[in-house]
Amino acid sequence: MGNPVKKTYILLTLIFVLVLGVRLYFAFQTSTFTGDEAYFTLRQVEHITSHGFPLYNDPLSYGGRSYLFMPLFQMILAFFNLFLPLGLAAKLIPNLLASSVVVIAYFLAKEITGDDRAALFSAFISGFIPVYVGSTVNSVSASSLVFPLLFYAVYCFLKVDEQRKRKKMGYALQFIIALTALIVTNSVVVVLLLSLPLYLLFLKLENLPQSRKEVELTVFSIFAALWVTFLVMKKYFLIHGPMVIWQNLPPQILDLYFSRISILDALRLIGFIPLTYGVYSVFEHIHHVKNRKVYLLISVAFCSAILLWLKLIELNTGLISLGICMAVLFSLLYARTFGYIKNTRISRYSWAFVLLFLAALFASSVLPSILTAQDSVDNALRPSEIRALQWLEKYSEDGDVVTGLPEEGHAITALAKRKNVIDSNYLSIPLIGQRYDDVMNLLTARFETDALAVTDRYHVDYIYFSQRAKKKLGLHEPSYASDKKCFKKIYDKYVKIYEVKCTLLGK
Amino acid sequence: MKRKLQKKRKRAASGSVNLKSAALDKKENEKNSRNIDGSEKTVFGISVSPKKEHYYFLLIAALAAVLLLAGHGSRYATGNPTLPGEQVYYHLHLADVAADGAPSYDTSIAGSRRDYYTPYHYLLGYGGKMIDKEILARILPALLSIASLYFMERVLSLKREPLLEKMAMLTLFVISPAFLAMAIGSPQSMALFFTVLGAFLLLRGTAEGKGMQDAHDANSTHAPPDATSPAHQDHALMLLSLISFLFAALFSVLNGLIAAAVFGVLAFQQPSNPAAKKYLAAFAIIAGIMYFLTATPFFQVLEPQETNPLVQQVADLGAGVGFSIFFWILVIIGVISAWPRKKELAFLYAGTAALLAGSIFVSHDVNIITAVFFSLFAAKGLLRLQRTEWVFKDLQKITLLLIVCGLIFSSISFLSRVVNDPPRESMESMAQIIRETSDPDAVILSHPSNGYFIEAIGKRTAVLDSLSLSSRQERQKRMDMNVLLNTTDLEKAKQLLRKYHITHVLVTKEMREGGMWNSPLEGLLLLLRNSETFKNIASNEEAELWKVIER
Repeated sequence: MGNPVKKTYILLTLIFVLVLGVRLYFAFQTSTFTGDEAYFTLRQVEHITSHGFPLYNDPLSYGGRSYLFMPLFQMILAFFNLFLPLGLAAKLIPNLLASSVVVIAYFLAKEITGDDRAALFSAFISGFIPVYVGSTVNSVSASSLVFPLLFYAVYCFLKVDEQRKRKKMGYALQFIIALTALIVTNSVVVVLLLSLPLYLLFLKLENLPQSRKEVELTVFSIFAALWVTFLVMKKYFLIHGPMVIWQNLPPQILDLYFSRISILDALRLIGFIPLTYGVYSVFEHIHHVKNRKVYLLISVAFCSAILLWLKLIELNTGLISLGICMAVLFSLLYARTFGYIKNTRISRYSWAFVLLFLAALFASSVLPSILTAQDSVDNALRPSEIRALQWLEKYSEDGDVVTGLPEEGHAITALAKRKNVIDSNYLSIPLIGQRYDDVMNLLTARFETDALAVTDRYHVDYIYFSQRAKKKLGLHEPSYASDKKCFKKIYDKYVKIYEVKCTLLGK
Repeated sequence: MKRKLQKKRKRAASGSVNLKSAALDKKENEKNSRNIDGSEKTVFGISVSPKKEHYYFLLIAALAAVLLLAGHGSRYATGNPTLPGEQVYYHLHLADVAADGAPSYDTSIAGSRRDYYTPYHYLLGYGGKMIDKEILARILPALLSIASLYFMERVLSLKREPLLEKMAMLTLFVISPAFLAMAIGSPQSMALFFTVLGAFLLLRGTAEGKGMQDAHDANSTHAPPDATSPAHQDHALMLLSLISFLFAALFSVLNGLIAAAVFGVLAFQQPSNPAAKKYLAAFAIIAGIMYFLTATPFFQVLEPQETNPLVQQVADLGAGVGFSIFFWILVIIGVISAWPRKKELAFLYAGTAALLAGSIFVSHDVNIITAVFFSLFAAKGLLRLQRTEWVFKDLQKITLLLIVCGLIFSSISFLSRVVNDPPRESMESMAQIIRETSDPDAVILSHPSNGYFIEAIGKRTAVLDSLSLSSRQERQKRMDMNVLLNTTDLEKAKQLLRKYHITHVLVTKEMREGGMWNSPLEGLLLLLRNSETFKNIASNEEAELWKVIER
C-alpha cells in the first residue's frame, strides 16, 4: 500500500471519527431519547434480550394488539445489549451504524470517479446530511442501519461484474447478504427494488450492454423481497391493501409524514452544495456522458425523488436517500471542477478552492446538521416526563389504561408499563381516524360529558398531560379538570396526571 | 424448411389425413422431451415425457381436488358448516326458486326484483331435490372446474401446445386464487366448462382435430371401424359445440361475447372449413334472439366492487377473485417474452386485454375467465425463466423456488381467507331462529351483505342485499335505508319501517363494530333501546334479532 493510499485512508478514518464524534456529542447531551419510535424500539430490545424474540403480541399497545415488523435492527441492538447497558447501546450503536455511511459513500464515489479527493469530499458530505443526522442522532431509528445497507448493496451491485479471483466471497454474494439484511430491516428496500430495473432500462435506452449478472440479481432481488414482505406482512396487506404504504396513518397527520417538499426545504434538509452539484451531475450524465456506474446512482436518486413526489415514501426517508445519492454524485462534478482547475493558470491556488469548498460545505451542510442534531436532542423526552411515567407505574395497577398524545403512546407503555389508547404504530388498527380524533378531543374537550364519552369508550383510567401536550394544544390543563370529583389530579410536577373517577352513566 | 411447413399446412387444411405430419409432430414432441444425450428432460426434477402426459394431468387434477377439499374441509373443521362468502347464498336462493317454477320476479327482496336464472341454478335447484343442496353447492362447481381442466388440456393438445407449456399453464391455473374462487362456489365454473367444451368439440369436429385423432388412431394397432361417415361426424361435433357455446352464452352477455370470440377465432383458424363459420353465424343469430327475448344481464355484479384496481386484481392485497403478485410478474414476463410472436398470438393478447378491462370496469368475477389467458402467459414467463441459462445457476434455482413458493403461499393464504370468510356458524343458528320466530311474510332489515343469507337460509324477505347496491331500481330504497339506519328520530324511523313493511331488524357484530355504526349511541342502534317499538327476541355471539312491535 503506497503512501497516498495510506494518507487517504487516514483522512477517511478521521472523517468517520469526526462524524461519529459530533453525533455522540449530541446524543450524550441527554439520557433520554427523541420520538415515540425510540421507545418502541427500546421495549422490543428489552423483550428480545429477555425472551430471545421480538414482542409481536403486545398486551399494552392500544389495549392489546399484534405487530408485524422486520426486527433485524432491534435484534442487533439486543445483541449489543448483552454486553452494554441498554441506554449506552441505544446511543452508541445507531450512531456508529449511521456514521458508516461515510465509508460506503467514499468507496462508491471512488468507484465512479477514481478520484480519492473527490471521494473524500463525498464521504464528508454524506456524514453531514442534516435530515439524516436529525433523524438518527437520538432516535434509535432503523434508518441508522437501513441507509448504510442500501448503499452498500448499491456498491456491491456496481462491483458484481469484476473478477475477484483471490477473494472467496464475491460481490454478488455480498449484495445478496446486504439485500437480505435490508429486507428484514425496513421497507425502504423498495427504493432499491425500483432502482435496479430502472437502471437496466437506462442501460437499454443508452444502448449500453446489460450485464447478465446484473439482470439475474435484479430478478432475484425483486422476487426475494416480494416473497419475504408478503410472507411477513400478509395480514397488513389483506387489511389495508396498498394503503399499507401509508401505514394506516390517521388522515389528520398523513401530511406530516407524506408531504410534498419544496425546493427550499430540500436544500435546507439535504444541503445546498450536494443537492445542486448532484442535480447537475445527473443532468450531465443523462445528456452527455455515458457512465453505467453513475446510472445506478441516478436510478436510486430518481426513484427516491419520484416516490417522494408521489407521496409513496415518508418525507425523511426520501430525503435521506436522495441526500446520500447527491453526496456521492457530488464527487463527479468535484473531480471535473478540480481537474479543470489543474489545467489552468490558477492551479497553484487549488488549495484555496478546496478551502472555499470546505467553508461552503461547513455553512451549507455541517452547520445545518449541527442545528438539526441539537433540535432533535431538545425534543427528547424530558427527565420530568420520565419521572412522571415511572411514578405512574408505581401508583397505578396492571391493566389500567393511560392516554396522552398519540406521540407519547410508546413512552407510556415502555416507561409506565401501562396500556395506552393510541401510539404511533397505526397499522391494523381499525377506525384510526376516529380514535385519533377521540384522543385529541379528550385532551381539548371543554365539557366533562364529551371527555367522559371518550374515557368510557376506551376505558381510560388516567390522563397524561405533559408539557409537550401543553405546548401543542395551547392549554395549561384540560378544561374539565376543574371537576376534581371526576378528574382527580394525582401528579403535578411539570407533567399533570389525572385519574378518571366517573363514567357518563355515573359511578 | 419453410416450404415443407407450408405444404404441411395446405395438406392439413384440405382435410386429408396426414399421418406423416402427425407422426412427425409426435417425433418432435418426443425430441423436445429429451436431452442431446438421449436422457429424459426434467423440470424441477420431474421428468418430461409425452408418454406420461395423462399422469401429469391426473396429478394436476388431484392438486385441484386437494386444494378445494382443503378449503371446504378446513372451514368445516373449524366448526363452521356454512358456505364461504355471501354470493354462494344468492345462487342457492335462486336455485331454490328455479326449482319451484322460476318466477320472473323474486319476492324475497322487498319490492321484488327481476331475477335471472342460469343453467347452473336449474341444475343446483333440481339436483338439490336429490342431494342436500349445500353439499351440491360445494361439489358442483368443483366438479365442473376439474372437468373444465380436462377439456382445457384436450384443447391445448389439439392446438399442439408443447407438453411443458400445457402442464405449466394448467398447474398455474389450478393454484391461482381466481380458479379457487370459481371452484368454491361460482356459476362461472359452468360457463367456463361449456366454453372449453365447445372449443374442444369444435376442434375435434374440424380437420385439424380430426387429423390429430386419426394420427392417434393410426398409432393404435387395430382401430375400430367407424360406422358414420367423416363428414357427418364433423357436423355432429360442430352442432354439439354450437349447443355448448349457447349454453355458455346463457350466463350473461359477456359470457356470450367470450364464447363468440373463442368460436370465431377457432372457426377462422380453419379457412378450408366453411361449415365452422356457418355454425358461428348460427350461434350469433340464436344468441342475439335469446338476448332480445330474455332480460339477460351484461354481467351480474353480485357484490360491491373494490374501486382500487390493485386491490381488485391482486389476491395478496385482498382481491376476492384475483391473482398473486408473483403470478402477475410471471404474466408480465410471459407477455414480454411472447411479444415477438404477437401476430400468431394476437387473439391471446387482445382477449387478455379485453378481459382485464372487463374485470376492472365490470366485475372482478371476470377474472375467472381472465385466469385462463393469464395462465398461458404466466406459463410462458415461468418457462422462460427456467430455460434461460443463468450465470448464477444457484440463484436461478432459488429464484424459481421463491416463485413456486410464492404462488403456493398465495393460494394457501386465499384458502385461509375462505376458511374465515363470513357467515359464521352462529349465523346459521340465527337463520334458524328467524325461521322459527317470524312469519313467512316477515321482512328483515340488516346490512346488505347479510341479505342473501336471509333469503336463502332464513327463507325470509330481505330489505336489501348486495345486488341492491348496484340496482338502479332500488336506488330510492337504498337512500331510505341509509336514512333509517342512521337516524335517531323515532318518528322518521317508524315512517320508513311502515313504508317497507319491515317486521324485524337483524344486527350483527360486524355492523356494531364499524360496519354500520361506530358507537352504540348511533342511528337505529340507539333507537333499538326503545322497548315500545322494538323487542329483542333472540341473540347469540354473532347477531341479535329485534322485532318491530309498533310501527
